[in-house]
Amino acid sequence: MKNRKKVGFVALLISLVLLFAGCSSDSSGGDSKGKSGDTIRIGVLFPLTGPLALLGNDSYDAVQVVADMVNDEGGINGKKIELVKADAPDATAAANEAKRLIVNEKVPAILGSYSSGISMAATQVAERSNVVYVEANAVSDEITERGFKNIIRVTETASMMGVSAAEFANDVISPKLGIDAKELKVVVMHEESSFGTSAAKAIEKHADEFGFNVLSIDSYNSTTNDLSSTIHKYKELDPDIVFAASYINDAILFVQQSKQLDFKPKAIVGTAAGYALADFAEKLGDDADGIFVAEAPSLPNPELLSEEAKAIQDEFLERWHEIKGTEPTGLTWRAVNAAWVLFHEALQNAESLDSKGIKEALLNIDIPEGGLPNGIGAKFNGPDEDHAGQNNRAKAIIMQWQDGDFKLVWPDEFANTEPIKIPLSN
Amino acid sequence: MITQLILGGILLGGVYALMAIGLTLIFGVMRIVNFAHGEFVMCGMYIAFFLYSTLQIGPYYAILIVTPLMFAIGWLLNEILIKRLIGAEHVTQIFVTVGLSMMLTSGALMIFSGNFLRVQTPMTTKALDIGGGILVGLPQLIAFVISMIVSAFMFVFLKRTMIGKAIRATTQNRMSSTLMGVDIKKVYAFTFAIGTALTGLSAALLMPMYPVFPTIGVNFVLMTFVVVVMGGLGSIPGALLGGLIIGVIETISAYYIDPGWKQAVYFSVFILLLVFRPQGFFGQIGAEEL
Repeated sequence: MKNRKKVGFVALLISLVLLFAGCSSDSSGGDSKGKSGDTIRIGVLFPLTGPLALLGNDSYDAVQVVADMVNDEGGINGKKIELVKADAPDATAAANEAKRLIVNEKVPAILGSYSSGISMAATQVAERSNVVYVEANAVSDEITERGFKNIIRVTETASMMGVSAAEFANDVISPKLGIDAKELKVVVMHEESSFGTSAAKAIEKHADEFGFNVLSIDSYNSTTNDLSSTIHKYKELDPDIVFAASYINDAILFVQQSKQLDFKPKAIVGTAAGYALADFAEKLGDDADGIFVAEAPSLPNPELLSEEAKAIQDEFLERWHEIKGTEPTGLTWRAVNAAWVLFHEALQNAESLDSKGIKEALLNIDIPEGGLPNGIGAKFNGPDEDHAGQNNRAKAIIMQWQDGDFKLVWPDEFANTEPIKIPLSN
Repeated sequence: MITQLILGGILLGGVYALMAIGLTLIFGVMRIVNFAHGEFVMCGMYIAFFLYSTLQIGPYYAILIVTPLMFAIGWLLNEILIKRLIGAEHVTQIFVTVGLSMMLTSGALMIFSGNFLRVQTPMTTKALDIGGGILVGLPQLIAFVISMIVSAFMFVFLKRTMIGKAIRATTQNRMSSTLMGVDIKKVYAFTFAIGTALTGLSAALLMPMYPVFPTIGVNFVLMTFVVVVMGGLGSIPGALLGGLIIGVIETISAYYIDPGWKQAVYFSVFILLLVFRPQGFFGQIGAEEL
């Protein structure tokens, strides 16, 4: 008897909960429809807490600044852009949050993310629901290799970084060291997630093409506490160049332990992520000096930029300095590009402000090199091409830490200054 | 090379051991799985960092402040939170300590943002050449030596002092020790505070080697659990041996196999150990049931 009562009570409770849930989702649905009269709601998904929070927040703030810039100029036909914030610290959260943005918030487009794992999960959900997803900062090749129709990636792929790193070694480091490319001894170390692995593969492939001797390829987990074994191994192999695809914890650890264990390669070429962050140079001081980084461009040679790009760059910089008081990095510019492409180029020209209209407008974009604030252009691969949705005018360039400043040194049309400290130990 | 690797591993393991001793005490005595242990290390590192950046107190001197401070924090946490978990369902304990760890991580993220903070000392990249081209990192060596001294001290403390004996008695059998008049509540409070104080000590020792950021705890906590279970719940020599073994396995497998495989290798060793000696090196059979 007692049990039956209990069951009855639970059933009542469940039905009540369902009723409320039904009501609330109805009402929120009504609300968002009501609001969409004067705002355009865009989902913005970044890791805002957890291990990647530093970079995620940097990107989110950049997107917010660009949205403000567009809104202050009158928005999209009088409609303001409203960002719907989603925090995705890991892949599971990314999938859930993407679902929430699409199902509950009913956004027509999502802009994200940072880190390939997060992007892979979130884009999967977007693709299933046919909602356009603009990728800002995740570089792993896999993301655009799946033949998805709804992903647009503005930034370069990890393998583009790998290619630039290898080309730079071939074009600049090898002649400056006076070592023929065929004699050049290199090692490749990479963190073991999708980002590090695709960058390393690209480096290896092109290193082989140029005829470098790849002595060793080592993977490791980016949360490692110790890289001394790898460094000891490299000391024995005595490579001329270390290529490294790392996040920040491991990048700092590698440089610090290399110094401690007296390992001095003639050049270190990192690929984006850890090596490119201001924290990296700040924490390491002089030890970071001379390290090369394949990265999305930031503050390229002003001559490269179109009038409009220059104007966006200046305005963004002004607003950014005001809020953050720091210099934007390549990562920040990637987020700026993605937000600009989506908010300014696509939304302005979309025939309809639903996912289909926005996607079509994105695919119609044709911005020549120098047209975006960091010097790249934008033209996306069609849905039936390889790497569908990838920006084929994205570019990885080479930056170098010079006395605590991050300088663009290669290729020449982007460069502001000459590469120095080749070899590194002098 | 092998000497270099083993030496490097032992030094690395010394720090793991120190963290593990704190955890094993709490685990062994209170039967509480403290998932927030790594985050305590993170808190300790932030304290050490701010002592350095505001008062110019070097991390090694900071030990004298961070350790008692973390002791007090541990005591307080026990009073507020942990003591209510004694004898609670495992699920409850896990939720509370995991929740605590998330709270600390997110709190740190809000207060300090995700930036990497590092104590700038030339010590960080110093190494001693001990002959034959074998290099020993100086901060690693200092951390190891202090770890060993503290472990020895803890061992003697548990063997000789009254409270130490009470702690050991509680580890062996909670019920009987209560019947023998041991003040269980005091033992618990003391154990938790010591465990937390040891994270403070490890934190200060880590500060010259690693930058601090909100999720640094994650980098250490998994390993620490492996060390504790390997050594046997509540056993200090076990934690010590476990820590050193994990350290050596890490450096050797990273060199001869691939750094990406080191976790796989030490977990394989761990699983083998559990098959053949489920109580760990020095554990008591069925200790988790008492």
